[in-house]
Order: sequence, then C-alpha cells, then structure tokens
Amino acid sequence: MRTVGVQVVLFDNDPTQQVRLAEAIAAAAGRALADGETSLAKVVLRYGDCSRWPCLSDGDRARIADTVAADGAGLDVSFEFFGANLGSAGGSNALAAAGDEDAIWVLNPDTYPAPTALAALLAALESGVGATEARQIPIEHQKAYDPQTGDTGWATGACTLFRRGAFDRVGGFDAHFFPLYCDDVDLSWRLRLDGWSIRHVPRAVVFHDKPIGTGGAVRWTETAARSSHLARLWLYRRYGRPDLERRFLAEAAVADDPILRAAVDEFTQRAAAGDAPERLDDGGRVAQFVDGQYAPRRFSYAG
Amino acid sequence: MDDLRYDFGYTSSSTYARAARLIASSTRPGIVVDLGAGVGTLAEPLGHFGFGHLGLDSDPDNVAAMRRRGRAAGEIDLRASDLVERVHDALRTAEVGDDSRVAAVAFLDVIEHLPDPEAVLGRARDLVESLSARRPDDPPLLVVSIPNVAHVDLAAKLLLGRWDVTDVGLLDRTHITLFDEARLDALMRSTGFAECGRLDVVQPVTEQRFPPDLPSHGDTTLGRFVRDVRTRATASGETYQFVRAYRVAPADVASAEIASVDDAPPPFLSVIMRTQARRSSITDALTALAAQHDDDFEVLLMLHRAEPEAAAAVEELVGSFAPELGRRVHVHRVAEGGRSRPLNEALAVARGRYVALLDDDDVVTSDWVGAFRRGADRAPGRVVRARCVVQWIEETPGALADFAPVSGFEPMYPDTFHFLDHVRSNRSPPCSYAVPMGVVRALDLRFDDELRTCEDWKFLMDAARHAGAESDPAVTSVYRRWRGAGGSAAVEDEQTWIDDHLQVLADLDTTPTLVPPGALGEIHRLYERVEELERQLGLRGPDDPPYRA
Repeated sequence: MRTVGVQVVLFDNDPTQQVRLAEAIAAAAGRALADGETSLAKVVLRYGDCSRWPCLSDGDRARIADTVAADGAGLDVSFEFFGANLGSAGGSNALAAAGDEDAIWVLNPDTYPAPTALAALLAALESGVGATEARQIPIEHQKAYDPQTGDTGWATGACTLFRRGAFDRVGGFDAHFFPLYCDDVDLSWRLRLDGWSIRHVPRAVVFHDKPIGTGGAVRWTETAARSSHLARLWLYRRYGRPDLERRFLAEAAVADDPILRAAVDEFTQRAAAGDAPERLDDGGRVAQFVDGQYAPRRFSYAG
Repeated sequence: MDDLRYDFGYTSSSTYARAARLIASSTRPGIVVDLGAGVGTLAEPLGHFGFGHLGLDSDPDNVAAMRRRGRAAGEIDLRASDLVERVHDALRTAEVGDDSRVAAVAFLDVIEHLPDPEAVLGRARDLVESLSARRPDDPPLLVVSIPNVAHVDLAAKLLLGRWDVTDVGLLDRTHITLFDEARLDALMRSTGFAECGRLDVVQPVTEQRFPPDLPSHGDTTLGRFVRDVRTRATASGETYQFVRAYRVAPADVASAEIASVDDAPPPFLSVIMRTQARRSSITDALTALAAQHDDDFEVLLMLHRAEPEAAAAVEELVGSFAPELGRRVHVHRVAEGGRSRPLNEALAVARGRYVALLDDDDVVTSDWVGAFRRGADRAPGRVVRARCVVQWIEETPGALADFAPVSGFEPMYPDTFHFLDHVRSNRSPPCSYAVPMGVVRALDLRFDDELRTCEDWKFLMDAARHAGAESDPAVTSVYRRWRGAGGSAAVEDEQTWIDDHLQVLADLDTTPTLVPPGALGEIHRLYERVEELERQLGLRGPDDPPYRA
C-alpha cells in the first residue's frame, strides 16, 4: 500500500477532541511513513461533517491543518460539510469516493490511535486480506479471532483499514439499511463473501472513548439500542435467517421495552413497504449469529 | 514561671559546645570572631580544639566581663552599616593576630534578636568574603545557631490554642524574628551562603512542656499523633536549635539555583508509571493517557531494571507519540532496588498537585484524570478514589499479542472508599486513586521498599488515615489482573501476601490512626455481628458477657 486515505465522519463532535485525534493520526502516519517495513509514501486526511451546522470552526480547522502539517507526517487535510446527516456509513462512503488511495483508514471521531497502529494495520493487510481491524481499549471487543493469524468474522468500524479494491468491489458500506450500527458487520460479511479475509490486529491499539457503566457494564444509549435492534433484523433478512427473525419478533412482542418496540415497528412498516434488503445467496456461509452476537465471543461484558 | 522549671536537659552550653565542634570539624584552627558574643561562652569549648576567640558584643558590661577573664573582646553594634570595617578594626585592636588567621565568624543565638536579619547577614557575607581574600586556601566559615519555632512541643501547644512566651528557650520574650528550618534556609541562601555542615541540637522535650497533663504533649494518644505527624513532616520536628556552618556561595552556584527554578506551572496530576519494559501493554496505558479529556498531567515513566534494548524500545515508543503527550512524559531509568524504588524516585521529582499510579498493564477511560480533578475540587486535600473494574488477562505466548483478556469487567471493588474495609484488605487497586502531593510531602509518604507486595496499599492507607478519601462515582480504570504467570500476584506466593499484609498493619499500628466519623458505630456493629455469629455457632451462651477483643 503506497497511499492511505484517513477518513473521519463527524457529527457534533468536540473540536478539542478532534484536534487531539488529528495529533494522533499525524503521529501514526509519521511512524508508518518512516517504517521501512511498509511501502507507504503518502497519507491524506479527510473529514466529513454530518452535523446540522459545521462542528469545526475555521479556527479549529486551521489548528487541525497546522497540527497534521507540523507533526512530522506533513499530511494533506480536507474538510467537507455534507449539509445532511449521511450517517457514519454514508459519510464514510462519500469520503472514500472523494479519494483514490490504495487503502482507506476509517476512524471514529471518538478514537485515539496509538502511534504504532497504522503501521501494524498496514503490515497485516496482506494479499487476500480485505480489512485489518485495530484492538480497542479500554473496552476490548470480545469477539473471537484466530490468535495466530488474526482472522476474524468481522471488523469493527471504529478503526479499520480497508483495501480500496475490496471496499469498492462490494460497494462500500450499506448506508441505507445500516446508517449507524452493524454497517461494519454487513460490510465485513460481504467482503468475506467476495473472498477476502478480515483480520484483527492486536498490536494495533486504538483508544475508543466509551464509558464503562456501574458494575462493569458497557453502556448503550437509546439511539444506539434502537439502531442496533433494527440493524439486527436487517442482517437476519440479508443473510437468510428467517428463523431468528421470527424468534426475535416474537420475543419483542412480549418484551416491556419501548425502544425495542420502536425498532420492530419501523422494521415491520418498512418491510411491508418493500424496503428491506434482498437475501444474499450463500450469506449463511459467512454470517454468524451466536448468543445475540455476530461472532463467537472470547468473553462477555455485562449490560 | 515556677512550672517552667522542667528538667528538659537543654543548656545554652550545649549549643556552644556543638558550634565549637562544628567549627573544628570544618576548618583548621585559627581565630573565631564571635559576633554578639555575650560573656564569651564560646571561648572555652573553642579552646579545647585549639581555636582562639575574639568576642564582640554591643553590651559594654559583657565586653568588660570577657576582658576580666582575660579574653580578647571589643564593643560592636551589629546593625552598623560599616560592620566589616569595625570587625577589621577590632581584630587589629585586640591583637589576636592578622586577618588571615580568622577561621570562622560566629552568630550564636543572635539572629533571632535582630529586626532586620537580612541586612545584618548581608554585611556578614561581606565580612566573610573580605576575610576569605586573606585565607583563600581555607576560607572562613559562618556559624549560626537559631532556635526552631517549628519544634513539635510548640506545634502541640498551637494545636490547643497556646503560644506561651517565656523568659528563656524557644519562645524567649526577647526574640524578635522567629525561624523554622525553611525560613533559615531561605535567609541564608538569599544572603549568599551555602551550608557546609550542621550539628543541630535535637531535644525531644523542651521547656514548653507546660502546663502538665496537656493532652497534646507527651505519651497521650493525641501527643503521640502530633509527634508522629510533626516529625514526619520535616526532619527538624525535634530540633531545638539549628547549629549550622556556611561558606560564601560561589556566584555561579547562586545564579544556577535561581536559573533552576522551573517557571512552568505545575500540572494537576503526576502519573507514575512503573515498567520493566517487558510487555506490549505499555502501549495501551500510554495511549489511554494520550486520550484523556483533561490533559493537565505529567507522566513519570520509570524504567525499572529494564534490559537496555527493551528500555530503548519504550523510549522510542514514547518519542513516537504526538508531541502533546511526548513532551509530558519524563523517562527515568532506575537500575536497582525493589518494586518501591522507582515509585519513590518518581515521588521525589513529581511536580503535580496530586499523584496517581498507573502500571504498564492497566488501562483507563478518558475521564480518569477528570474524575480525580472533580474529587480534588470537591474535597481539596483528600485522597480521591474513583471506581475501578477488574479484567482478567493472561499471557499468550506464540500468539499475535503477548497477552489477551479472558473476562469482561468484574466489579470486584466497592463503589466508595471505606476506611475500615481497607483495613481488612486493599479494596482500591493502584490505578483507582490519587493522593495530594501536599499530603505526600507533609507526611513524607513513601512506598515501603522492605515490602515485596502491598506497598501501594500501605501508601494509600497511610495517606487516607490522615487525609480521608473522597469517592467519585465514575468507573475510570480497568485493573488488569493476570491469570496464571504474569503480574506480582502470581510472582509472589500466597504466604508473602499474608506476611506483607500483616506487616503493613503492624507498621501502621505503631502510631495512632485517625478514623473518619462513623467508624465507631461500624466497629460496634462488627462486634455485635461477631457475638451473634458466635452464638449461632454455639461458641457463646446467652449469659456470656459482651465480647472483648
């Protein structure tokens, strides 16, 4: 990979946190560019803003530009204000379409990659690998991976490096059905159906700014919970699991959970109107639904 | 004053004997110019060491008394602006020998009587300098003795609202300017002197031990507590009289001291990270620090007994972080010592208002520093403790990573800091609390290098029993515990943990402990619970008396 496009989709994010993220990206890019093991020659940074009003002022953008220019790597940076909430998936697709770099590094705005992260992700993006995923801290993702190869079922969108050729071949994220949640699961599974493998890279560390709840639970916001329920139903449709869909809907019907009800109502209405994903042939070959997760787990969090 | 006649063992000759010994051990024999000499008490002990004496005093009666005893003496006003010339005149008049024979200038029990000690010491510096020119191979000393008003006996009385001026002693009614060690040090530095020796009078019991039965004095519980706190706060808690020798500081030393003052404002938090540079987990810990929302902290990265290559790799890692973090990480190499050595070395250089520990295998949320800050704002001076969860990890040799989690987060520790809980066992992992550096400095808190385990618990308990603790409800740290071989829990055997635990309690129990309000009720309930359980187990009959420990 000679070129990498780093992309961050914003939605009402704190400018201070974005400056800090820019510093981290510049440090990681600088280290990867200097790493003799990679053939990396150029890194560009693209921001796409889905907020109603630009969340970065001219001054903020200037600070970010100065930071990435000064911190060793000398990155080019661009800012695009979408003027609409495209969701993280739609925003990522739009930013990917704006570039032609060999690899696309998708980063959530609430992350902070270690300086070694990009070099490690690049090193793992071997032939046949469509995406390499960083290890999140402080809440490490619990899904299983092969401890020797890193092969895993899907890659989280918080910090993943995609091979552009693979990303483009499968059409990128599905922003229609998965604007916020499970867009990464869906994309990973379509990549695998296309023959690519997905790798978890434990040595690529990224801080993902999530609070830990009382009692050690991983917290979900209401929006996240609703989007997540709906996304699960779309995944059942696309990857051919009507049995799980029926069971989910039956359990939801008796659950005292208004968020779950709202998600089911939207699913039902849209599906009745024909707004549902087509079933993918052979989808069951890659899709895994294990105890409510999309891959076997190494361990579990409460909540 | 009758009740002042307490045999506290101090006589002014103690000071003069010590001053003479200090001079004799610091320079070769010659004349000592004794400014404010009184009746020349210093002459006799000096004579034992082969030194001559010129006594100069402002009181003609004292001068006459010295002369009657056949001693060289003269009259002098110490406040005179031409003090240097007057001393040289007196040396000539007294015919004690030429200027080159002056080995020292003494100011014993004088400075505290001066309204403007800076001015007089400034002239004393000029005097010593002028005499040094005549004796360049062994320049004269300045020797001073000054009573210490920060003596524990005075601290104990102030605690109860007493400040008893007396005819003699620490609060002699003729003392105009009062000194503790810090003020003396500052005065001497500011007037151009550098300390070269000391022979302080250490006197645990002073003339201030009155009235009898004052509860903050002596062997009362409060008295022992006050003495413990005061003597830990600075080494001079029981110093009655500072007896110190100085030489004129070279100009470059004086200016270097000024230049070394760090103008940068101290950070809120000093984070001590101890590492042997053996694990990749340090990347996690540093990245989590880089992502803090509140970045007002420094990191003291203590490379302890690290292999050179591994240490270099860590330094290279630090250097590869964004400069915003990198410039706040200070790497120190510590080649020797036990687990506590790097922690204590870090404490010695920490600049933060608070100090916290983050081991290289633990990880924190972005609110870690923020939670400590909130607690410090709510309850300044107290230990701040936030919630912490455990995640079990294990080594994974041969895999892509050298370690991996094997559990989710387990809330193994209580939500709030509870002192008595912590007496039973440590319920706060090192990454879960921050201690005010004011407490660390005031109590001379250290990590116990004699312990193989539990050093953090002892540190926390020692701080909390004096400062108390403020709890923050946020979960801000993940204490990663090693399953199988790995961390110190696995390295040390169970018996070591038990032994060290008991040792910590025994050490803390050598001095009184303050417990927070409510503790007595809790202890009462614990005793009741013990009694109830003993009844249930048939170990106690209904008519047995209440349980006694």
